[in-house]
Amino acid sequence: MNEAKQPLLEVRDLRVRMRSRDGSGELQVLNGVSFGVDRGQTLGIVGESGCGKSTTALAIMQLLPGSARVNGGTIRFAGEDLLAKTEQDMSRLRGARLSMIFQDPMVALDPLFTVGDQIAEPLRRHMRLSGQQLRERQVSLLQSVNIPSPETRLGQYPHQMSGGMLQRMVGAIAISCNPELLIADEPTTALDPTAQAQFLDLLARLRDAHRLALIVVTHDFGVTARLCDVVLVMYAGTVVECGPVREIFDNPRHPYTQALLAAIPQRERQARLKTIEGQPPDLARLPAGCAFAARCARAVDRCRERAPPSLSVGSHHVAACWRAEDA
Amino acid sequence: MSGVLLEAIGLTKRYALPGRLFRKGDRSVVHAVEDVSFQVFEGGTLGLIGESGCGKSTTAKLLLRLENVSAGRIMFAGQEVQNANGRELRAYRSNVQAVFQDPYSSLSPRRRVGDAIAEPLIAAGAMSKAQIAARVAELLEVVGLSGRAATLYPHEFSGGQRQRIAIARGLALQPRLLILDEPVSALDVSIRAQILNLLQDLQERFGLSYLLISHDLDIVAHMCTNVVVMYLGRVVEAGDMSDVRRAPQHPYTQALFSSVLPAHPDRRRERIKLMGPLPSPLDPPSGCVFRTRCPRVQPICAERAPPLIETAAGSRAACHFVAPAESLGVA
Repeated sequence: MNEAKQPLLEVRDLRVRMRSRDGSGELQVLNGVSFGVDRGQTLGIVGESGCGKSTTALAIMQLLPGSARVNGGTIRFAGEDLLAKTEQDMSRLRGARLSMIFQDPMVALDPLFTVGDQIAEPLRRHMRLSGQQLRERQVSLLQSVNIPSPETRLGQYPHQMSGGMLQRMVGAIAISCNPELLIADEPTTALDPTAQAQFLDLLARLRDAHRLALIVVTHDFGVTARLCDVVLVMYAGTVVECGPVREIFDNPRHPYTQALLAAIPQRERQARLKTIEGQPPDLARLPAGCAFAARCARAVDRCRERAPPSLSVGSHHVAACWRAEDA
Repeated sequence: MSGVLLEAIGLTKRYALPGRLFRKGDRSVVHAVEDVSFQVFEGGTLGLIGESGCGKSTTAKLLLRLENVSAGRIMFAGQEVQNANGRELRAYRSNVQAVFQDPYSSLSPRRRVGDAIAEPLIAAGAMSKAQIAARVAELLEVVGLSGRAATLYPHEFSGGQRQRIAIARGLALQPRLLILDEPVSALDVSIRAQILNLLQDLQERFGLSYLLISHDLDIVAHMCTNVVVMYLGRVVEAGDMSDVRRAPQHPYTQALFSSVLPAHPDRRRERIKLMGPLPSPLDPPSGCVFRTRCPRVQPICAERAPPLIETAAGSRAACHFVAPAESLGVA
C-alpha cells in the first residue's frame, strides 16, 4: 500500500512451515501473507479452519508451536524486525507493547490463582508496580472493562465468574501495560450473543481510548462488520482478498469472499442458502494453480495452471484472482 | 400448518444438589426447567433459543427421555410419553432422534461409519443383516455420501461429512421428529450452509419435524417456523418466528435480537444492554426471573411472576408491561 509511511505493524510475504501431524512431512501453512495495521485501526483476518489465520497471529507474537518455523518474509513492528529478536527480547515485548487475547478465557486464565494475581503479573513484570500503585492500577483496569465491584472481584477465582466476565478480565490483562498492538483471536466465539456484543463494544472502546492497533481473527463476517476498518480474507495459507470493510461487503472481488458472504443466513426464512461445494484443499497436496480453483464456479484453465498474483482492484483493495477484473 | 406432533405441557426439571456434610435438610435445588410449554407442529421447525444455562439442552434431554421430568407432561402424537417405558418407550425413541453439536465426539472413533449408522437398526431388532446393509447404503445416499463411506472410520471424514453421518444415523429409524442441538455450531461457514440446506431438503422429502436448539439467531430465523425464547429455565416469549423476529415483545428477547452482529458495516442497531450478571438458578429472583437485568424493571416485577399472555404483536410473552392482544381492539 503506502510506501512512504510505515504502519505500526507491517507483515510482508510471511511464510510458515509446519510438521504435519503424522510427522510424514512439512506443510506450507502460510504462503506469502502481507498486510499492515496502524494505531487506531482495526484489521479483521477472516477465513475458515486451517486457512492460517491463527498461525499468522501466533507468528507475529512469536508463539508458534515447536513444530512450526518461519521460512520467509518479514514482520516489522514500530520499525524493528521482530523475526530478528531473541526470545528474551520478545518476552519483554509480549504483554507490554504487543498483547494477545485468545478464544477461551477458561483456558487463558489459571484456575489456581485469583484474577487479581493474574492481573498483577504483567504489571509487576513490565511496569514494576507494587503496593498501593499496583492495587490502584488493578482496580482501574477492572473498571475500564466494566466489571462491577472490582475490589471484590480481584480476590476471586476464575470459576466464580461467567464466561463474559472472564473474557473481560482477559481483556483487562491484555491492555494492562498499555500495549500498542492487540491481537484478539476469535475473542467472542465462546461467548453468548449478549456477552459477545458487549465484548466487541469493549474492544472498540479500548481501541479508541488507547489508539490501539487491533487485529481481530475471526470466522464471522459479523464481527468484522461491527469492528473492522480493513478485512483480510485467507484461504489455504494465502491472502485471497484484502480491502476496506465496506468494499469487502459491497464489492467483494474474489469468488471465495463472494461465496462466503452469500453463505450467511440473512435472517429471513429463505428457500436455500448458497453453498461452496467441496472442501478446502489438503495443504499437503496443494494444487498447482489457485488453491480455490477446484471449488470455484468461474475457474478457467489458467486458474488451474498458475497461482494468481495479488491484483489491485480498487483503492487499497487487492484480490488474488485471475478473473477479479471480469467480475 | 398441520397438527401438533409433540407438545410439552408444564415441563419442569429440578435437580437437588447433594446436601452438605453436617447440615441436614436445607438441600439446594436447581430449577433447570420450570413450567415450560410449547408445541412442535407436524412438518414444522421450532427454534429454542436463549443463552448458556437457560435450560435449552435440559429441555432436549427431557424430550429425548434421557432425563426424567420432575413435573409436567410430554405428549407425542396424542400419547402421553413422559413416563412411558418398555415397548412404548422404544417406539417413542424411534420416533424422536437427535443430532448433536460435535460430530467429533458423537461418533465413536473405533467404529466404522456403516456400523455406527446400523447401530439403532440393530438395537430395534426388526431387520435382517442384508436389510440393514441396504438401509445403511440408502441412508448414506440420502445425506449425500457415497456408499464407500460405510467401510471407513470417522477420522477419515471432515467435520461437515461427519455431521452428515450423524444425521444419517438420526434418520435410521425413520423418526418423525429430529432434535437438533447446535447442529452446525462446530462447522465452518461454507460447510454450515451445506448442512442447513441438507436439513431443509430432508424435512421436505420425509415430512420431518425439527426442534432446533441454537444460539445463532440468524440460523434460527432462517430455519424455524416457530420459536421459544428461554431465560433461566422459563419461557419468556414464544410465537411465530416471523412475529417474534419482526417485533420481539419481551425485554429479554429484544436484548437478544439487538445483540445480533450486523450483516453490514453500515447497519448499526441500537443495542439494548442487560444489567448485571445472570442470577443463579439455585436462587432465582422472586417474581419475574428477568427483573434483575431488565432495563424496564418496576416494583411489581419483584412481587409477581408475569404470566405468559397473548400480545398485540401476535406472540406470547411473560412480562407485566407488554401490550396484551385485547388492547388492539379487534372484534
